Amino acid sequence: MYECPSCGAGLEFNPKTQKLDCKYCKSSFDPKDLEEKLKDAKGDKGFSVENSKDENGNEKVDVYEAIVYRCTQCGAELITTDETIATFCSYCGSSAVLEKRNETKVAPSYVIPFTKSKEECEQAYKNKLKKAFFAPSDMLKTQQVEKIRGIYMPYWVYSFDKDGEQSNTGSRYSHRVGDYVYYDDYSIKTNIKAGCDGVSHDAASNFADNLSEAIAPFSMKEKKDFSPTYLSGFYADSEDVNGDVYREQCNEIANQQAANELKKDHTYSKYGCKPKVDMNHKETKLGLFPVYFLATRNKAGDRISYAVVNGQTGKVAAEIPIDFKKYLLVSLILSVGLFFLFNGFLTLTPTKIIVISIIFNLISLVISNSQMNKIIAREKMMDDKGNASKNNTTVKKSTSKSSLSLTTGIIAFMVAFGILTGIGNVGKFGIFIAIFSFAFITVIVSLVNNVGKNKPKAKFSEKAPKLLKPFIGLIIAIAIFIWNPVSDVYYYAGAIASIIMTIWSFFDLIKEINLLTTRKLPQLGRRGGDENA
Amino acid sequence: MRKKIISILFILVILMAGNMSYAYNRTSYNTNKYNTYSESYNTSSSYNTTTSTAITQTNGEYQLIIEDDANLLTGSQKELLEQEMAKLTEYGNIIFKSINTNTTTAANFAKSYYNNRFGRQSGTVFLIDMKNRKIYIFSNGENYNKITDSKAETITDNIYEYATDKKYYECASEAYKQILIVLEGGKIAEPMKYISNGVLAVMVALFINFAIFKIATSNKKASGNEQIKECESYFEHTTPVVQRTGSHRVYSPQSSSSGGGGRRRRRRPEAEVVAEATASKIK
Repeated sequence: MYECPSCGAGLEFNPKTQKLDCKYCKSSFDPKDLEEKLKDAKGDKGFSVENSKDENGNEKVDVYEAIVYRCTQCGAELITTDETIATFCSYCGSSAVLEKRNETKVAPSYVIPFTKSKEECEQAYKNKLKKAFFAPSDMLKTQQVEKIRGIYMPYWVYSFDKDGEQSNTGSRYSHRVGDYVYYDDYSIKTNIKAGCDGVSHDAASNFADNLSEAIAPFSMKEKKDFSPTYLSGFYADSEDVNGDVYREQCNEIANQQAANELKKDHTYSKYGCKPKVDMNHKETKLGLFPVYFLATRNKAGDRISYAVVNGQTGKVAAEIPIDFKKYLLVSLILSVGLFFLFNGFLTLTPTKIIVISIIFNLISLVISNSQMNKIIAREKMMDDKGNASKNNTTVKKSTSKSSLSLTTGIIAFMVAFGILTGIGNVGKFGIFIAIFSFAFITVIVSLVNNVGKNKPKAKFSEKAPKLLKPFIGLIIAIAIFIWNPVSDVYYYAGAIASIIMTIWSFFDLIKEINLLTTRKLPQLGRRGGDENA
Repeated sequence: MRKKIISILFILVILMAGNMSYAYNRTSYNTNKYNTYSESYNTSSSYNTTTSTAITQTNGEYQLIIEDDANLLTGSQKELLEQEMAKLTEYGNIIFKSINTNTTTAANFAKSYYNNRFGRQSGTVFLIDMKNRKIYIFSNGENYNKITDSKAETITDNIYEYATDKKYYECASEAYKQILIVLEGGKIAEPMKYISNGVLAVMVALFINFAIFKIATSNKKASGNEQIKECESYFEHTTPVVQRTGSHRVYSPQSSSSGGGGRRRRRRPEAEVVAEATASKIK
């Protein structure tokens, strides 16, 4: 803890004034000035940045002395310069006893100081909760929200540059001869001088990528050279993910940005070229960025959900579960309104209701599939590069097989259309059947092959049990449709059974989504938080 | 891309479903029982395909017509039906028509049958189409404002079982009773409409609320562009130098764009490209 040079009381960093304030004598100090003052004063050098030397006396890295708390329950570590902070583990929410020790830490290159106060972030979080209408009401309890805590999170800050020639190719229409169109090919070269400093990614494995990427970006224009004085009144976390893990992904962002700049030159569009720029990695530096963190344990105490707020911009990312009772109640009220609305204009013929139930079952299959991919990836921590790199697992990605499902879909369309043409039943109904065959086969093949964006996918066998209900619903509806039974009663009964399967699978899905908003308790085996004082 | 394709497909499917159901509007469905009956009927009955069975009555400006070309009703049943139908002539022309032969759909037949005779005048046709084995209610003019597509659908839904059980008089009689109720502003039973709308409303509400929740709680990943805006960056480049390196051709038949195989891209042989290459600087 930094003592006030005037009265000796504790100083705390004030995000509003960007100064260290003394609550007793009301003095304010600039963090950098204070560090200089402390460097000069005897015995206080521990809390300032020092240049350490290696065994040969060469300059190595900047270091500073800090107090490190380690949570005995989850192993998380939190760094502070303030011994008197009221504490509990920010990662597992536990009130277990924290181990405390003094340690020399490598100083990061930058710090972006907190500019939003705790109260502002509490409000931002509450606003997000209010918008999430179906969130459990007890999440808004003041006592809960007050556990929010400012932590300087470690971020890798990448710099990229380019100073040299960039070659691209393009081609444009020239002329046509018979069944062939001729295109001229071009090479387009230019010399580029570009730089991009400050593409960042969190460097802590227990800070989930989906949350850190949602509260990004931080403005690098407000970065300051690191001084431990900024930590006063806050915690800091230390990096445990190698700087190389996110380098490629950040390089891609820099490349894209440079390509967009280059595209502004009309020469490229004129010659049919989508320019690419290969930026070179220059350096990776460590920065501490301000994040407010709130960890809430579930009732059983075995899972945890996080809410984070960007301490510079106030942007919120939170894992919010659905309050099932609230969801059901509001849905029922809405359905009464919809019921009267439908009665005004909608009289469903048996075929219509069967077709509608088929469509809803297909939609339900697609939604269930994408949610199950996310859930299984989260449970296996496949969706977090930082965590995967720590555990030496690889982030599995699906290969792009979308062409396969589309091809099979098109084949199904053509076969259905061919058969219907053959038996002389084209018309609107035939076209509908053909399009339906296309949609059905495309969806099913996509599910089985895990087609989709370049995101981690679960194995089909893992998610199949959860896809069973909408699939059964789909089969019932299709069977009735094909069977074309004598009595309309079968149509209605089949459609209702199929819709009930959809609704049932939806309830299952909500349970799974609620699971997705929580995580397994962290088992970090390294760093810490501490106990509620 | 996949999401876009799938959403387009769903829209198409929904549109098709809408169109299809329109095509079937105001019909009740053909049933096998019905079918079987009509076959036995065909073998056991002698046909009277003329309109000699027709009854025509005029009440003011509106007409009452019974044309039982398919011979489904007995003489006394026709008389009873005529009495029941008489009340409906207050609202418009009222027609009972049964047919054994039909070259088009029941819907088209009823529509052209009515429009050819009465045009846009108020009126309702109740058609039993033995060829397609369908019953159909078509209305026009004032009557159509009350006997809407959905009301006609409900009525045929309520009475189709009589037709299945070969009770054509009861079927027609019940149809006119319900038509009268609707024209007088009363309510008719619509059990399946309410049940299916109810189930559908619950499902749609669950989907809507789910979508609202997902949108409100989504933690959207910051885009690369947003990140770059907050970086310190600079970008300069010299005027691009363009050089023609060769050419290639793409198979693209002029006659048709589909042709099954799509476009086939074929590069010219390397030697050809080299021969064509020019070193002229264009810019």
